[in-house]
Order: sequence, then structure tokens, then C-alpha cells
Amino acid sequence: MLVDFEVIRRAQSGDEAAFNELVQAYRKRILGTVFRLVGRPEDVEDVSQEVFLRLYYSLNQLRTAEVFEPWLYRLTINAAYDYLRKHRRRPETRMADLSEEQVAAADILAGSREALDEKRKVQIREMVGLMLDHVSDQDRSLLILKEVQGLSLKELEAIYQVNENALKVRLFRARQRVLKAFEQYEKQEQKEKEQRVKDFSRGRGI
Amino acid sequence: MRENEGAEKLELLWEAYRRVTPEPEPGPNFMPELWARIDASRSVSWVGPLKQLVARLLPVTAALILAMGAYIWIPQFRSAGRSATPDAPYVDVLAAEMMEDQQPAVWLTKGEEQRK
Repeated sequence: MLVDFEVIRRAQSGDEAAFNELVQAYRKRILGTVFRLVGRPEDVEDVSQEVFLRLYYSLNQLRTAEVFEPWLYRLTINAAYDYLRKHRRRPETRMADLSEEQVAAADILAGSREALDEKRKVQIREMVGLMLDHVSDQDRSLLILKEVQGLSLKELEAIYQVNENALKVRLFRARQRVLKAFEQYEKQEQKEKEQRVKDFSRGRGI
Repeated sequence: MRENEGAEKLELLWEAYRRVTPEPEPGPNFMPELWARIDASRSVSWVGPLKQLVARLLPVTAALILAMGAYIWIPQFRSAGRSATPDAPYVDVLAAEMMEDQQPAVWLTKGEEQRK
């Protein structure tokens, strides 16, 4: 727990200073979780504020301060689901969608090491995003919380309110789906690489 | 064997994702913006309960109107089914019926009477 139970109780009774304290203690963690769940840095603050807005209006529904953290995670997951549902079809320019010339131009313009690092980060985020598109929103959040956030099965049990065995089965199935997508992605990448080599050889008349 | 290899690669990918998505620092406007959102939603927070109240009252009102309509309409319908002189004595009712019996069933036209 990042705050005392007393702070949560005071926030529940309408103490705004206690609510501020609560937000300040948890905002970084929530921002990180939201970032990993939605994968769009530009919308992280907006979704995180939505989480705390929901927290403000539903604090009085919290039975005991002891279950605050799993409950906050549930609010975060739900806000992320809502965001993903709304923005799923929003067109996004991905590096993979750009033509070779556009990528080359971007590389020349931003030839610094920092820019290349940023490009690599975007590529990894895109790749994980593509893998996670093969599972449901629920499995997506489950995988992120387990594999990336490093939450234990006990913590996940409290968040999803299902028993450990059911969680293990769901995790296993979700991992299998992602693994399959990952293998397909690798095959596709390999094919594209081979094609590029062929095109290059033809262009040079080799 | 191949599956293990894939799982290991996937594990590396999760690790890379963890590294490229660190917990971001909140911007300086995070708290003021949050409070602005809370204040904005507070000002319209009475609309929700009002809507709920209207939604609850609407069927009750409709049921009341139907019940009142039935209360007014059903006694009228019952009284329309009774005879024209419901409170007349039995003898008068009997006399009225006898008068009806004595009238000819078919009225003869002038020509028919002459032929007879």
C-alpha cells in the first residue's frame, strides 16, 4: 500500500486533501498501467484522469480500505477498456505503414541516436500492440498485468475476483494465442526480408 | 522445443515492452486538470438523478392515468347496459312491455288496407 488506510477512510468521508494525497501517491503507477494497457502516450494522462474521476465518485462504494488497490486496478482496467473500445478504429500512422522513402526521409531528418532509440521504442510498442490484438480486451489486460507489470496471481485474483485455477487457464490460453500471433509475425517478417534481398539483387542485376 | 524457443522470445518481448513503457511522470497540469474535470462533472451531476427520477415516475403516472380512466369509464358502461328506467316499479315495467306486445308487428301501407 502506498498510503495509510486512514487516508483512504478520510477520502471516503469527503476530505479533499486526503483525496489529493491518494491521487499523488498512485498517479505514477496508474499512468504506467494505463500506458501499458492502451499503448498511446498521447492519451495516457486523459485516461488516468478518467480513472481518478471515477475513483472520486465511487469511493463511497468501497467496502473496506484494505481492498483499495485491487479496486483501483479494476477502475483502471475498465477505463482502459472504454478507451480501447472508443479508439480501436481510429487510424494511426504506424512506422510499418510508411513507405520505404518516408521511413528513409524520417531517418535522415531525425538521424540522431535519440531519434533512432525512439523509433525502436515505437516499433516494440507496435509489435506488442499487434500481438495483443489477437486476444480479447480482458486477456490483454490480464497479460499486461501479469507479464509486464509483474503482478502475482494472488493480486490478480483480487482484481478479477476469480480463483487461481481459472486465472491460470485463462493466462495459458492467452499466452498460446499471443505466441501463435508472434510466430506468424516472425514468419511474415522473414518473408519480407527475403523479398527485400531479392528486389535488391534484381535491382543490381546480380 | 520450438514452442519453448517461441516462449523465450516472447518473454524477451515482454521485457523489452516493460523497458520502453516506463511509468511516465505526470505533467504539471495533471492535478489542476483533474480537479477541473471533477468540478465540471459536479455541476451537471444533478441531471443524472433527475433523469432517474423521471424514468421512475413515468410508468407510475401512466398506471395512475389508466386506473383513473377505468374508474370513470366502467360505471358509465355498466349503467348503459341497464334498462332506461332502472328505478321504475315492477308493475310499470310490465305495463310497458304489454304495450309493446299489443302493437302490430308489421305496419300495413294504405294500399294494402284498401285491398283487404
